[in-house]
Amino acid sequence: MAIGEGRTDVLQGTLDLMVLKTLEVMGPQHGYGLARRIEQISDDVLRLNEGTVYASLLRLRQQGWISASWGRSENNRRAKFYAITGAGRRRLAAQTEDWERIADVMARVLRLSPDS
Amino acid sequence: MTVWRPVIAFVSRLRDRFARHRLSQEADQEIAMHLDLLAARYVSAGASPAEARRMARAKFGGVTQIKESLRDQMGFPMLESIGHDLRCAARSLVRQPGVTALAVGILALGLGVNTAVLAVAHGTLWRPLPYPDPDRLITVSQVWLEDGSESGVRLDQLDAWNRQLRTVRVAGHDTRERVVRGAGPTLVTEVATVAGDFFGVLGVPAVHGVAPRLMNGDSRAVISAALSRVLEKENGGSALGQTVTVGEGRYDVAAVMPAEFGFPSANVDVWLAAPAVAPESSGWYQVVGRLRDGATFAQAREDAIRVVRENRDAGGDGWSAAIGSVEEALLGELRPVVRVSIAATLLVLVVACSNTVSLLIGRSVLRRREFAVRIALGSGMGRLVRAALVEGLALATGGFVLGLATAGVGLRLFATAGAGVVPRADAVAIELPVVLAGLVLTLLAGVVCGGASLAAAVRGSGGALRWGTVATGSRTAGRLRAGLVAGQIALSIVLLTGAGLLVRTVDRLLDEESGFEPRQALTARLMLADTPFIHGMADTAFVDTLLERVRGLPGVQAAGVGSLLPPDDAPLSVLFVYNRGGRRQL
Repeated sequence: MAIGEGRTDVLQGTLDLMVLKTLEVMGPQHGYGLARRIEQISDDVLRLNEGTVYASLLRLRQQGWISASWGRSENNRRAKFYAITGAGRRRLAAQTEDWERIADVMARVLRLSPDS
Repeated sequence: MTVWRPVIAFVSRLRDRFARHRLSQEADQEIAMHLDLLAARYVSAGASPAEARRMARAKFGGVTQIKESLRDQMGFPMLESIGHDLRCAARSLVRQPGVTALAVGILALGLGVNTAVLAVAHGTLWRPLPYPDPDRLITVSQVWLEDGSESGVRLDQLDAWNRQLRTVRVAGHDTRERVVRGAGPTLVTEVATVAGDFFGVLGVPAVHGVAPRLMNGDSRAVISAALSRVLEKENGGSALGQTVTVGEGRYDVAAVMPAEFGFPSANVDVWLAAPAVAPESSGWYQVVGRLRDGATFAQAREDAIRVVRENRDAGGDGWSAAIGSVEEALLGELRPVVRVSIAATLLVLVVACSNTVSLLIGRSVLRRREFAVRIALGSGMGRLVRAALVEGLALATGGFVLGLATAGVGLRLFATAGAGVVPRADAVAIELPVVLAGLVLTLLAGVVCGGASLAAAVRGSGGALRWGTVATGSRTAGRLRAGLVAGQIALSIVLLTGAGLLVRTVDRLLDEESGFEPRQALTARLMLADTPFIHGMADTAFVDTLLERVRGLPGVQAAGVGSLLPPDDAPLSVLFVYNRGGRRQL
C-alpha cells in the first residue's frame, strides 16, 4: 500500500479509531486541531487526506460516539469542537482490545521464519 | 446497547437529513477555516500565499469530493435518488395518460388472473389439509383383482379389521344426501354415517363440545360449523344439545366441528353413527385410516392385503387391498386442473407483458431524445437502467394493485360457483403467500417491461441526438417490435388452440348420440324425508301416485323416475320409464 518514501496510507476503518483515541487523550478538538495531533503522533509516517477527518467525525457523531458543539479556537475564530461521549469511550475500549489482538497475531505471523 | 446502535445511527442520519442545509454550511465553514490555518502554516514556513493555498488544498484532498461525501452521509442518497426516479417516472407516465392507463390495465389483467389462480391453488391444494399429520392419513379399500374394482368394507367387519391391522387405525364412513329438519326450512344436505373412532383417526377436535366416539345406533350427532350457525340463527341459543332430525331419526347435537373440517367432503353437515342393524344387512363403508407411529405406506399395504385375504377364507385369492393418501383422494382430481390453469394464466401474463412492452416501445421512440440528452449530460448507464426499471415497476405495481381488486371480485364469484364442486372452495382467499407470489410476478413483469423499453430507447438514442430525429422508428426498435408481435401471436395461438380444443370437445360431446333426447325434458331431484332411497319395488304405490300427478300437469307428456340421470352410469341401476300407456321396466 505504501507508495514510495516509506509513507503509509491510512487503513480503511482505522481513522475512526485514531480520531476517538485522540479525542479521549487530548480532550475536545476542532477538525484542524485533530488533523495536527494525528500528524504529530504518526511522525509523518501516515499519508492522510485531512478532509477525510471530517467524514470520520460525521460518522462518529451519527453513531453517538462523539458530540459536537460550537466554541472559540485559539486564534478566536468560531469553530466546531468535538468531544468523546461515554458510548464513545466504551467503543474505543472494545476496539482497542480488538486491534491489539490482531496486531499481536499479525506480528507473530510476520515473524515466522523457515527454521522456526 | 449494540442492538440499538444501527437504530441510533439511522435516526441521527435521518435528523441530519432534515438539517442538511445548515449542516453543510457549517461543514463548509469548518473546511474553509481548516484550509486557512493550513495555508497560514505554510506561509509562516516561508511559502508564498498562492503556493501556500495550493499546498493546503493538496494536503486536504479533493475539497469538492469531501463536501459531497459529507452531504451524502447526511441522508440516504440511494433512497433519495430512487425517490427522484419515482418522481421522474410518475411525471413521464402522467404525460401520456392513455398509454399509461392501457399498460396498467393490461398488466392488471395479467397479474389479476394469475393472482386469482394462485389463490385458488393455495386455498385448495397447497395449504395443508386441516388434519394433524395429514400425510399419515390413508384410504384403504378392497380390490377385486379380476376387474380392479375397489370397494370399502362391510360395516360388521370393521371391528375385526381394526383388530387385525397392525400398522393402521381405521374408521368407516358412508355419505349420502339426506333430509335434515330442525333448522328452520327443511335442508337437503350430505350426511355421513361413521363407524369406529372416526374423529379420533382424523385427529380433529370439535370447536364446541367433544366429538364422541359414535357407537352403532348412537342418538348423538356431530354437525358442521355451517349447520350450527343455521341452528343458532333459527332456534337461538347454542347449537349444542339441540335436536336435528335426519330422515326419521332424531339426534342430539353433541359437538360442532371447525369450519375447515369437511371429511369426506366439504359439503357434509352432519355426522351420525351407523344404524344398528343385523350384520347381514349392514352396508358397505369406505375406510379412512391413520398410520400408527413408525409405520410406512408400504407396510400398511402389506398389512391390508394380509387382512383382506384372511377375512375372505373362500376365494381370497381374487382379492387384494389398495392404499391411497387421503390428500390424493380429496384433491387428486383437482391438481391437474389447477396446474393447467396456472400454466395458461402464466401465458396470459407473458402476452400481457409483451403487449405492454410494445406500448412502451412505441412511446420510447418519443423518449429516445430524452435518453440521448441524459446520456450526453453524463447520466451513467446505471442511472438510466434504474430509471427505466423504476418506471416498469411503477406500471407493474399499479397493475398489481388493480389486479388484486379484480382477483378479489373474481374469487368471490369462484367461491360461490365452486362451492360443493371444488374442495375447500370457500376457503379460497388472497392470503399473504398469494400476495407475495403475486409480488414476485409483479417484479418480473416490471423488470421485463422496464428493461425492454430501455433497451429500445437506448439503442436508438445515439442517432436521435445526432440527427435530431424524433419519431422515425429505428430498424432495431422495429425488429424488436416485430419479434414481440410474432411472440404474442405464437402465444395467443397456443392459448386459443387450447381453448378451441376444449370448446370443440364439449361441442362434440353435445353432438354425440347420447341415447336420449334431452330437449324438452325437465328433471327434478326427489328426496324423501324418511329414507335416502326410493325402493323401486317397495314404494310402487308412492311412485305410481307421484307420476300420475306429475303426468296430470299441463304440458307434461311423459314422466319417469330413476336413481341416476343419463349420462351418469353406475354398475347397478334400475330405471323405470312410465308412459301414458303403462309401465315398462328397462
